[in-house]
Formats: sequence, C-alpha cells, structure tokens
Amino acid sequence: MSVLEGQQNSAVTPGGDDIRRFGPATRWVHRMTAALFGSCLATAAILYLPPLSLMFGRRDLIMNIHLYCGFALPVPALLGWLTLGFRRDATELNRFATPDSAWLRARLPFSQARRQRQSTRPPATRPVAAPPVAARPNLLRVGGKFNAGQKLYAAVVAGSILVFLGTGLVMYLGQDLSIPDRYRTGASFVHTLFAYGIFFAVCGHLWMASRDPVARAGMRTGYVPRWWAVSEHPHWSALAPAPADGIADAPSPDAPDDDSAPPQHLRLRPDDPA
Amino acid sequence: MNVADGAPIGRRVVLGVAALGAVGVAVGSSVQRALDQAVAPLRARDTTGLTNLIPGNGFEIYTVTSSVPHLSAASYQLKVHGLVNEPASLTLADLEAMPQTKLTRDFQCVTGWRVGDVPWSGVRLGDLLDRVGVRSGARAITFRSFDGIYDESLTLEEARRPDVLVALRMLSGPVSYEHGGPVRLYVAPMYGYKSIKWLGEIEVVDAVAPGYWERRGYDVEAWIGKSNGRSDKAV
Repeated sequence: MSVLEGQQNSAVTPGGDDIRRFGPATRWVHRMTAALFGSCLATAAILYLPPLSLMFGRRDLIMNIHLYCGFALPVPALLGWLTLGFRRDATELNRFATPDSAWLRARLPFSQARRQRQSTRPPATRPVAAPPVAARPNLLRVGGKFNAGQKLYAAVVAGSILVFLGTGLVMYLGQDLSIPDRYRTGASFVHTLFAYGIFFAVCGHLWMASRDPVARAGMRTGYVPRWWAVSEHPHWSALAPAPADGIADAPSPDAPDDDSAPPQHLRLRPDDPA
Repeated sequence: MNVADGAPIGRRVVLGVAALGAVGVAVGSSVQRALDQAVAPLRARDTTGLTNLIPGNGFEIYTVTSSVPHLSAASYQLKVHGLVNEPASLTLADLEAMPQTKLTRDFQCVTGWRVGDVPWSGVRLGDLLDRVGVRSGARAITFRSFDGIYDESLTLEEARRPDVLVALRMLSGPVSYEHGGPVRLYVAPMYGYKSIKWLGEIEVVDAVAPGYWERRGYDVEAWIGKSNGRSDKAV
C-alpha cells in the first residue's frame, strides 16, 4: 500500500549477507509505541507511588501527559495498519504455526513434551530446540521471523493497550457519565494491576533486548545478519535458498520473508516435496 | 504452508486479555474490598511505605506544584484575614493553645480510594473564625496552600460544621510533610480535595470561589456520596 514498502520488499540486501527483518513502518510503530508506553509508565509511577508523587508534584500536568500518551497509544499501530509491511508483520505475529507449537511445548513448564523430555532423556540433551528437520513436514513458506514467545508478548501488549484504554476511559468519563462507583473502582483496580503486569513484561522485553545487540540493531536498522537469523529464527523463510532454487522464492514478490530452515535444512531442500 | 494458515492465536490472546480486563472491571470492586481487608493489618503496621504498592485503600500523595516548602513548627504561620474583625497570623503554638477537637473519620478521595478510621485532631475551623470575628457580609472562606498554587473554598455555613478541622495531628502524630504538614484542613463530609494540604492562608470572603480542582471539573459542593457522580457511603 505504501510507496516505501515497494522498495523494501526484497528480503535480502543486494550483495550483503544481511536479511531484512523489519520495514520502516514496523520500526516506526515499535518506536512510537515504545515512547508512548514509556511515557505512560513513567507518569503512572509518578501519579501512583507516593515518594515519586512528592518528588515530581505537578499532578495536573503529569495527569495530562499520562492521559494523552494513553489515548495516543493505539495510534501508531492504527497508522501502521495502512502499510502493507506492518500488516504483514502483524499477520505473522497473529498466526501460530507448527514451529510455534514446538517452541511453546519446549518451554511451557507443564507441557507434556517437557515432562517427557525431562523424564526420558538425560539432562544433557538439547533443552530447547526445534524438532529435527525430518520431523517437520510442513515448513513455512512465509514467516518465521518471530518465535512464539515474541508473538505472545505482542498479543499481550496489544490486549493490554485495549484494557488500559477501556479502564482509563471508565475512570476519565466516570464523573461525566455517572458510571456506577463499583465499575469505576473495578476499572482503576484493573488499570493498576495491568500496569504492574505490563511493567514487568516490558522489563522482561528490555532485558532480553539488552542481551542481544544484533536483535536491537535489527529493530534499529531493519536488517539482521544471516548467521544470527539462522541461530535465532531457524524457521525464517528469508533463510531459504536463492531464487535459482525455483521453489522457495516463488512467492517472494509478495512476501519479504520466505521459507526458512537451519543450514542442514538447506542441504535437504532439493528433496523437500513442498 | 503459508503463514496465514496458522491458527490466529495472537488475536485470541488479544481478545482474551481484553475479556480478562472486562471481567476485572465487573468484579474488581469486590476483589478490591477483599484485598483491602486482607492487607489492612499489614498497612497498619507498615513503616516502610511498601504497602502503598498494593492497589487499594492506602493514602496516595497528590501535590500540584513542582515542590512545596518544608515549614518547621517554628517557622509556620497561618494568616487569617479578609472580612474579619481581627486579622491574625497564628503560629503553630497559637493553634496548639486553642481547644483541640479529636475525630476518627475516613478519608475519601474522589478518585475512589478511601482510608478508614483516620485519627484527626486540631482546631475547629468554627472556633478559629470566632476567635478572629467574622464580619457581616461574609459568605464563604477561601483557603490557600503555602505551596503557592492550590486553593479551596467552603461556604461559611459549611466552615462552621463541627467536623471541619484545621488539623494539627493526623494518624497519631503531627501532620507529616507529605500529608500537608505542619497544618492542613480536614473537611470530613467532603471529598479529599476539600481538605487542603499545607494550609497557609484563610481568607473570609463574600462569595465562594471555585478551588484548584473545581476549576478543572470537580464539583464545588463536594459532599461524599452526593457529588462528582459518585455514591460512596457518607463519612
């Protein structure tokens, strides 16, 4: 849809060994949402925590910043929705495919897969890994640039934005609309609890980002090196073989992210019936 | 297999989180009450302020300026002037020398939180007005904080109620700095924004002038349970 996206469609930079992970729309949505969310959390802390309230004061100003940053929170994503690139990333975040189930099964504390692995295998075996290539009959032809954890995080943040907006509106309009006290109390209770939740979620997000400079560079520049993609997102379609292969890149004009697999998969690719 | 073929789990999670929020709004008030009861003993014994992190009925600290001067007991003065016979500047010692009234009443904020059974003590505003002598033509009081910005108002009739105090003590000690010390107002039957903190000036005037938050939308008549679209239990 956007003019820019037309130029961004090639997944691999010409000549380089970098792979395009995020288009400009996605990066701007990320940046603006982060700035707004950060402002909301900072002002929330000032409004809510007595020592900070006392230190910063100016309740009217802080409240207005919180209010308008909050109302603006969904705007970047809504604007991003006007671009093909962001919609594609959002679709990818929405859809959970076979590798995501495997990823989750390998990590969820009470999953059957994990229990079995812990009871039947010596602890020295790979704790978390995608199943062997042969066990994956349906490889992704599109997608794979996010793991299931990232997809869940995105969904939880998006859902929380809706909750913050809804409960915030109940608190803000409660007086004018004479909303019953119990819903106003309920709304502010939920608003507070979700604020704690999202604070810890964002801390986790930042902590993970702090441990991976390549991932950060990917969000900053849009590109990540191939070796990183191979190790972090082995299912990523952009890791598929070059166009000469004739199979993997068929949908590439439409999809920046093509079929993907770890290196051993690349060797198997000619036999892949897909 | 195309990415669009995967299950739309993301959307379900988004909707699930939103639904959780909606359920929370519906039952949050009851949960809040249960939680308040459960942590009340903790709050009562807490000296660290950590229980303020628990959502619910603890004091929140609202200040509208960037900073508020720290006034010591020795440097504090309360200016009482306007339509009075004997304008005065009262020191803390002057106020302490007057008859003290004790009340144990809730503090109810218009944003919803309520701190139960707060011990208050101080000079009845009515006694103070008698001391300086209100002139005919006086209809209302304007209060100003020594933070330099916050102001509030009461009608003369409201000001003479026995449950309106110029509070010197609160929570079994002198009114602390964060609660508006050394001297604040406590208007028991009205929402907290009437109970002006860091009280510096009382002016007797001929008409009610809406206060700081009232100019920003709150009701000038701030009766608990009968204003601001709320129906809280009266204090």
